Amino acid sequence: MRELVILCVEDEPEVRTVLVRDLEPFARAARIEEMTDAAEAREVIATLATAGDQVGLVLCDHRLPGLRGVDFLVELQADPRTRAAKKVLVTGQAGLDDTIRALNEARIDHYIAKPWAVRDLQRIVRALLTDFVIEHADDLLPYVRVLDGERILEALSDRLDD
Amino acid sequence: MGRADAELERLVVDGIDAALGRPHRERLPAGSLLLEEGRAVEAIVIVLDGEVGLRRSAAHGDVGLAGSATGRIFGLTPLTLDRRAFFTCAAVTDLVVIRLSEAELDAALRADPALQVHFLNLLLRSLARRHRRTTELQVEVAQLNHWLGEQRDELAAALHDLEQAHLQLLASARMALMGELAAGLLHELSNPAGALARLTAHLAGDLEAAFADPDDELPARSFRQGRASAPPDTRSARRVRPALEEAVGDRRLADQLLAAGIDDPAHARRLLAALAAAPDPDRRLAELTRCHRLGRQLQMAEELIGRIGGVVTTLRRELQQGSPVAGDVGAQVEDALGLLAHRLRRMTVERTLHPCPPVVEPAEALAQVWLAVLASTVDAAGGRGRLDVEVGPVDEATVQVRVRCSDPRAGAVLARRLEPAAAGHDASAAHGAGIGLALSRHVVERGGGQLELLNDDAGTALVVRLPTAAAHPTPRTGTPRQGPGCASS
Repeated sequence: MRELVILCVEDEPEVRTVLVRDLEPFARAARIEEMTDAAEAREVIATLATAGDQVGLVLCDHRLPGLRGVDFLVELQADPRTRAAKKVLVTGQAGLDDTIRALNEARIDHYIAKPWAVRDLQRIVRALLTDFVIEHADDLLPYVRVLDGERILEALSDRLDD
Repeated sequence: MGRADAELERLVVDGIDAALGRPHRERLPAGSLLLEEGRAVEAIVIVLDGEVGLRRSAAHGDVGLAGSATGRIFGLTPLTLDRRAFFTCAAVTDLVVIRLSEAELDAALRADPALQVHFLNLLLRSLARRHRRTTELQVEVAQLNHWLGEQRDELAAALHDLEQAHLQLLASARMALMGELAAGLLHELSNPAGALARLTAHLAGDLEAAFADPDDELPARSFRQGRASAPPDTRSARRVRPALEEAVGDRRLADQLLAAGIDDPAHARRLLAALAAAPDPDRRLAELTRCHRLGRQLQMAEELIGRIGGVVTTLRRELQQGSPVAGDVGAQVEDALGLLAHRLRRMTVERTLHPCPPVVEPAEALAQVWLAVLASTVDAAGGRGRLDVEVGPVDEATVQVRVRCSDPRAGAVLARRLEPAAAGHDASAAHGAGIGLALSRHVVERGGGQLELLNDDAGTALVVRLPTAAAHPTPRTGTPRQGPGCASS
């Protein structure tokens, strides 16, 4: 895995700016790519795949131009390049049907309601990225100080035992 | 009873008198019962003088019967059938009667063949009269049934109207409640929003002053560039990044330069060359990045505060009595568009607003109509595509508002919302579309206007036509009335 990437798909520039800023503590562990809509996200995913980078986490708004966030996450779940990525639906407006679809079909890992509390957002992102790197990263050491160090060290210990 | 009947009765009475030697004339006071319904009848009663009344009991009380069908001899039918009186026969005035038992009647009839003929004739005439009356009653019953049917239909229509009125009342109550909530919310929002706008302006001034340094203009310039920058465009940032990365030789550095508002490779190279002379180039770049970001964040905060302020201003105007846009349909539609700005962000909105003469319907009611028409159309179009809003006079007597979306499928949704049954539970109303389309049509039609749906392959339009005040010069007196669904504050 060359570089870990977080995708932020949000069409409102102000909300996206705040989201990216709130994710800044993770910038040392993962590159943060921001995009406006699903089409742009698809282009970025293709570029990342070509470069060998891996999408570890997708934070996706529900009300995207032209496509609902949950439908895009379902699409990502079916795409081998992004199936393993942790998926978070960020919205204040998804209905019950959308939420059920997100859980069952997109296998979303979390649902964050807007407006979010920065502490909750960072706690969720830290836990999900930690899961991802434990499951998929060959080298865990770079993530010890940025993500959940205790769990990563346990995982390192388990790997040594194996 | 005709003269022939009276003559026959006289002949019968004379025959009975002759045969039975003038039977006793009985005098009965008013109120006396000659026959009692359901009781056995032992004698016929011939009324020689006075008036009698007939009645029969029914499920909901006694029913008075017309005596004209019976003649003046009572008890013949019971004697010939089951011997029980079919109705009650009572003296209305004092009476003079002859009572004859069946045996006495039989004896009289046997004694005088002429009496038999007269009696039979009288009996036949009585039966014929009763038969005719029965037929008349059947006709009356048919007419009554028809009348009842009409009454039932009218009642059903009245009930339907009542239900509609009830639904309108519910919608009105809901809108009134929403109005109260909006007024409360407005009060809570208004002061903080105003203070926030001023605080942001002060913050901008203070930051400008803090960065002002004649010996080092870069931080102030970065701040100002950030504040003047357009909303970040993720695609163009991604497009310029490779060239920037190539110019500076490092992707993270390229990202940092982009965050500092520098996307031109030549500019980046010059800046890095200048920074190389600084004691700590990395720290200096971080400082400039922070200045740019401060400016950009401040600009975004100002933009967001401006949006909140716009909503507060529009809402305040909507809630105030004697709205300054009364009669000005174009301004009302603009206000409604302002209130719905958050739902129009993904649509291309084209406004064509021509000055209009004042209309009849009060602004408070129309404000709800424009909100409902616009919000319903936006909802039906899924909040995407193109929205054309045209306001203008058709002629001196009519003003027209046309709201058209580019989605022809929206027509089916809007048609359902226009149905009266949708008035009480229009989903669009639940999502902030005001009183809903069905009630809006009612408001428009009440004011002498029309609200119609036009649909073709290229799109869907709701068209509202309203009579101008000049065409309907009858002034509305008193304070502006509360239309259905008007917010009360």
